[in-house]
Amino acid sequence: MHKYRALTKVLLKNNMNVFTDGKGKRSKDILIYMVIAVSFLLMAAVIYTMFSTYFEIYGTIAQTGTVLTIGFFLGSFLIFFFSLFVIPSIFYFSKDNDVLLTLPIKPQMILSAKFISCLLYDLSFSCLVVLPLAIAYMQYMPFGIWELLCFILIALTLPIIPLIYSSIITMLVMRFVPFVKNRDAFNMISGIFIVVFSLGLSFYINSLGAVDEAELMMMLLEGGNSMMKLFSILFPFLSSAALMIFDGSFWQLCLYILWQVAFIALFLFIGKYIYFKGAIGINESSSSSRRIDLRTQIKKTPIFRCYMIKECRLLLRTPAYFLNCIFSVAIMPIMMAIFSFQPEIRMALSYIDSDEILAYPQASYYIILVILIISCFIAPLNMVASTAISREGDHVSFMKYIPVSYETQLYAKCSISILLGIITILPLWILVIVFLNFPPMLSILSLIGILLSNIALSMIGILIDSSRPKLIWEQEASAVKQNLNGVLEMAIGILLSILIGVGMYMLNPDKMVYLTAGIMVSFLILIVLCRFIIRRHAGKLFEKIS
Amino acid sequence: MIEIKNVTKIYGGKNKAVDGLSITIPTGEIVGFIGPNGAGKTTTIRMMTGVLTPDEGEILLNGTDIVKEPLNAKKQFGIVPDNADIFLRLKGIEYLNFMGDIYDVASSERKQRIEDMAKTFEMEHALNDKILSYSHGMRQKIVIMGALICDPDIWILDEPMTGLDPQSSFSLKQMMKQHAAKGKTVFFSTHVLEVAEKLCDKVAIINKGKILFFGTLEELRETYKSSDSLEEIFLEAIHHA
Ligand SMILES: Nc1ncnc2c1ncn2[C@@H]1O[C@H](COP(=O)(O)OP(=O)(O)OP(=O)(O)O)[C@@H](O)[C@H]1O
Ligand SMILES: [Mg+2]
Repeated sequence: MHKYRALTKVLLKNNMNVFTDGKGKRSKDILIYMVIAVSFLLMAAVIYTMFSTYFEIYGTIAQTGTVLTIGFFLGSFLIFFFSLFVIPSIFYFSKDNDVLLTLPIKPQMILSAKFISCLLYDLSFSCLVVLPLAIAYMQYMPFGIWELLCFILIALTLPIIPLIYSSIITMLVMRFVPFVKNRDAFNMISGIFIVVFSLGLSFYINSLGAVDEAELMMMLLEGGNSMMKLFSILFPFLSSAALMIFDGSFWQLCLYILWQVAFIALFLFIGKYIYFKGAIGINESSSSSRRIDLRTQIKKTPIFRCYMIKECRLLLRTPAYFLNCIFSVAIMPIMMAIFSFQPEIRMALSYIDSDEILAYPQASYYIILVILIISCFIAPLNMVASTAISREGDHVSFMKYIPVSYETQLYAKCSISILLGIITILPLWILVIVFLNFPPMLSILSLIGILLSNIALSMIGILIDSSRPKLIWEQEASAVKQNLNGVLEMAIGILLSILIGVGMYMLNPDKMVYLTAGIMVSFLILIVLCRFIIRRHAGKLFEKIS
Repeated sequence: MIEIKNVTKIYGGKNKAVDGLSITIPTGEIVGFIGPNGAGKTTTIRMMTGVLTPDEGEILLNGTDIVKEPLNAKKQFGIVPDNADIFLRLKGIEYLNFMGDIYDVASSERKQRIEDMAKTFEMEHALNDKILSYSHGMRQKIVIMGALICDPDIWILDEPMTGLDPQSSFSLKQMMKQHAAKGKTVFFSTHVLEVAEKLCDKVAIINKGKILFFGTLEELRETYKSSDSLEEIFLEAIHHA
């Protein structure tokens, strides 16, 4: 037994070196943790405000339990969604599998260690949702030690079942989708398939409980948390989570724990039989052994472009990078498109009278500012810039011994992040322009805003990663997903978003023009500043990297 | 020519990996760098190539200081690093093209060199595949091809023979000899004493970050008269340091 314990410990340690290389200065780290903490607290505050409004509205019609379920549903779904990109990379497309598969250990061992490392990572997510929910709840309902304990239990266990969902789907896909000749392409395709299939399935399951407007009204008025079932179709355990708090029921607590145990058992059972079959041979690649025609294959490209092409190729061809950096953001516009074609949303949109809105001169600036907020939030999500150096891993020395300046290399890496960020937000921008019939000047202005925010955040991201890259990792997924630098750039994006939001809230409507201008200028200043730092200090930053 | 002057590298504040090392690697000769594991060979090579900055001393490549004028100095050499598992998701040809672009090699030249080297190393059928699908030795070969595609003046190779089959290893040695014969510089580290013996004009023996010996093989035999094989000489030099 102690052999297993030792192995778990090693596996965990390997998978869990989440944030640092183990070296680095403490004082700098403290600052970083503070930035992240502040932005998370602000996020939590925003979420808290949302929930307390919900409690206020739904509480009056005896649907408090429903709000709890909505909160838990939100947390679970977010975790489920993001894990769809992480789980395949960690369970399958991971370098350490080559070693793990040679060890005399059971598949469940490897799975549990990998699973726990994902779980620990996702706890921050679930706390971010559950804790604000708990505080909001506390202000509306009698709150005792029982509720407190329940909330803590839920915060700690909420990710388990969503993670098991995506793990099981991943294992089934990797096992039973037929292999194609090119294993690399297969990995990519199955990664896409896992995400699309899971999202489709979850939308479908959710729509099983869809009700029409009249029924919805009935449910609303019925009271007694009648709407709870609408939100616990996909995650049935959520209703016991809500009820153990709302009813203070010990029986529901037992039921909740039973759900968790049952799913863990199911996960291990399935893993025992099908994990190895999918995992073996995952690093195979195709080889055609065809002779190539050098005349067509050789062409000269300028350095900047060839460096960008190389980066793109690596991002697109490495399954872990493709899933986490490219596909996870590329799917956002697609999801948005699906949403905007939903009948309810279409109806809501048709109520919007663009002439009426744009009749107010300030309104268009509010819209631009909201676009900027979203842009600041979305730009860091691809993490291409904030993990640009980390992804080099062992081979960071390549950047140092080639005769290309660090500046050029950094900008080449940066521009991919900028492009990707813009592509992600462009559909939203087009939607706004088309639906609201936005005047051309303002459309261009908002596009410039998007551009500036993306450039600024990418440059900040790449500076962060140059100053403290995470170069020691066992698997590509941990270079991107379990990397504090990505979180840090997101935190900065969130801070900027919230700053803009606060400005909008505090200032008079007629000051919006100045706010917009001010933000644009600040982005410009940030860009110039980053440019200056890169020009003057890139060499020194790289000197420290070894 | 490579001039290493009084170079020291300290890891983590106390571990002196390279300790006041001075050595001048002349043109027209092949210089082998030998020493036990952890002696400081890779560290020295990393400092020569601008990957690490020396804590003390300076390194000149064809007269250009690697610290003061990194870009110019880096154009002087081609390096084969000790770990060849690089850019695994690129195809061989894509990697070579990329290196060609980085070192600004004209297409016609590039084509000629790739053709020649692919033939020498028997890689013609592999260039269209991803490096991921290569064997250990094939990866080593593609890295060597990438380093030599710009026909650099100085060759720096960190254990270049590891994993190469006899034929390829022979070809590489031939290429190194030809390059030196053209009056260029070849510097490589190795553990294989026979290679050093057959190939090198001079050897540098390093242990614990210090040069124990630098000179021709004859001089080495002179110094350690009691031992007759290079292996014995090597062991004696290391133990009596
Ligand atoms: N990144 C590092 N951080 C700290 N110490 C290091 C690092 N790399 C090497 N060292 C230390 O520096 C010393 C020299 O290592 P180096 O890699 O230069 O040896 P080497 O001669 O290339 O050995 P080998 O023949 O095994 O390749 C060793 O004591 C090693 O422990
Ligand atoms: Mg070495």
